[in-house]
Amino acid sequence: MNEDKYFEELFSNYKPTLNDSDAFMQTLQRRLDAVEYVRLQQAEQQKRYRRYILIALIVGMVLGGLLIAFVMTFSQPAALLSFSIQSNVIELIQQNVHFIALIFVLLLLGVSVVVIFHSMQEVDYYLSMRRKEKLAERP
Amino acid sequence: MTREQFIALVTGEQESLRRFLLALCVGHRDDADDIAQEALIKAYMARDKICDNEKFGAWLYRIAYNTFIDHQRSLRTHACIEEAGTLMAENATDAQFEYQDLYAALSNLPPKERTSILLFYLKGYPVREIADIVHGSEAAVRQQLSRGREHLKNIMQR
Repeated sequence: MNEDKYFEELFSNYKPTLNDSDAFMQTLQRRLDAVEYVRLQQAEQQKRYRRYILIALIVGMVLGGLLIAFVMTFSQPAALLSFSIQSNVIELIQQNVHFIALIFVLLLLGVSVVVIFHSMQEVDYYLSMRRKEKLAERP
Repeated sequence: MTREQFIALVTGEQESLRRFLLALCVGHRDDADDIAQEALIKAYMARDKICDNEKFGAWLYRIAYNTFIDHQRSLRTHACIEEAGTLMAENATDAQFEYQDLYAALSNLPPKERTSILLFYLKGYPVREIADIVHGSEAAVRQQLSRGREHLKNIMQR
């Protein structure tokens, strides 16, 4: 009990002077402003990201659909070269040449859309960095 | 909780929090204020998690304690705490010098004991709440308080 009193007294007298509270709160407010700014930027970036995904999806579906329709209008190509080789594999390729070409072109299209989407993001990031630099340069 | 509500709660609590952190950082003002700022920003970012405003204080102290522990893990802070005595002597005003013995004694306590002692005697928190703040059991906090008291008394009486 005495021991407890000793410590209670020891800490009840502990009232050190602190640095200016107003300055502390002002610094805190400034930091909270910065936090809000970053949050806003992140939310905007997320929104942009979702928009790009939606655009990429629509573009992919439209181009893919057009391509499929276009390929379906082709007639069976005549063989330009004949090697007189009897092979089931070559026959299968010959019969499905439209679909093989279609898969190949769709893959190419998919990669192109991803690359374009990625480039758009990079351009967007570069522009936002430029905006930030300009803001920082302001007095 | 809106920003205004958060600021209102913090305005009422910040001095007490900074005094607690000042003692936890054994008189190193810059570190204490840095930790307080960092803890308050963390609290602001997680303010939606607190439902009961009455528990705001204890919640804030838990964040401050975690921030202090993270901060202490960095080499810089560790070195600062070990050198607390010399640092205080170098740049202390008369008012700061008043607590040099207490800071020197506190600097010899392990962080958990120091935190438990400060929360118990400085803030008046019950053992249960301290256990919640330092993520320990009530028995562990009682043991830390007992050991801390013993250590502190031995050092102060030297």
